[in-house]
Amino acid sequence: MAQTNPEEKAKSMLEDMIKEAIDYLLTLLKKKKNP
Amino acid sequence: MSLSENIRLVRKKWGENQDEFSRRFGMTRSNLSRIESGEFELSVANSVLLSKLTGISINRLFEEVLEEGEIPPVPVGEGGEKFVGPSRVERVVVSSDLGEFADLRKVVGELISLRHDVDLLKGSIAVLDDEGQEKLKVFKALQVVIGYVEKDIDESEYQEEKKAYLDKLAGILSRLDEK
Repeated sequence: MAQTNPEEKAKSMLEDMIKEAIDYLLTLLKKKKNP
Repeated sequence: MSLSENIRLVRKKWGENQDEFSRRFGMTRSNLSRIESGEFELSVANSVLLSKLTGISINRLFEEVLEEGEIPPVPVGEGGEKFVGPSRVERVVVSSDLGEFADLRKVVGELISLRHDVDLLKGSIAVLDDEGQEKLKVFKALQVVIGYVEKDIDESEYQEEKKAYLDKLAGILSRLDEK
């Protein structure tokens, strides 16, 4: 079911963006440890 | 050009070396050095940030070299401590920007394109309720941390991952267009 409330939609998007940011950050941290 | 000289003058007045001053703008020391020498130009977003931090209009910063007396003392926090990193710069900017309105697409789009200049965007938090604002703050904080970690790694080492990350964010953003 598609979300229609813009605020809920924005929050759901932010949650997904946070997940992606954490994944990317973890990738960077691994690179930092193993140059 | 006046702006590059003015940046150097503000930094000197605030008693900061290039490494410290560059952190205010989320840029590397070498980029700041090139900006001060006139080799690189300061981005529009960072020009706005400099204007906000100093209280000096952008036009004035660009037009001519500042008089010593025009440059304000270094901004300090509530406890009298000197602002150093982005999180502290952010407090300065947030306080002056709250109340402005921008939609989420603009916020996020600018977060992605400006990366370290996230501090400029905060008026836009107003679009979300408390819970949404907290999430946006978390995302913003992550971007700042990412910026710091990136500085310690050679850019060629994370270029691909960065592109993939930005593509994923763009994909999430495209949901704004869905009905």
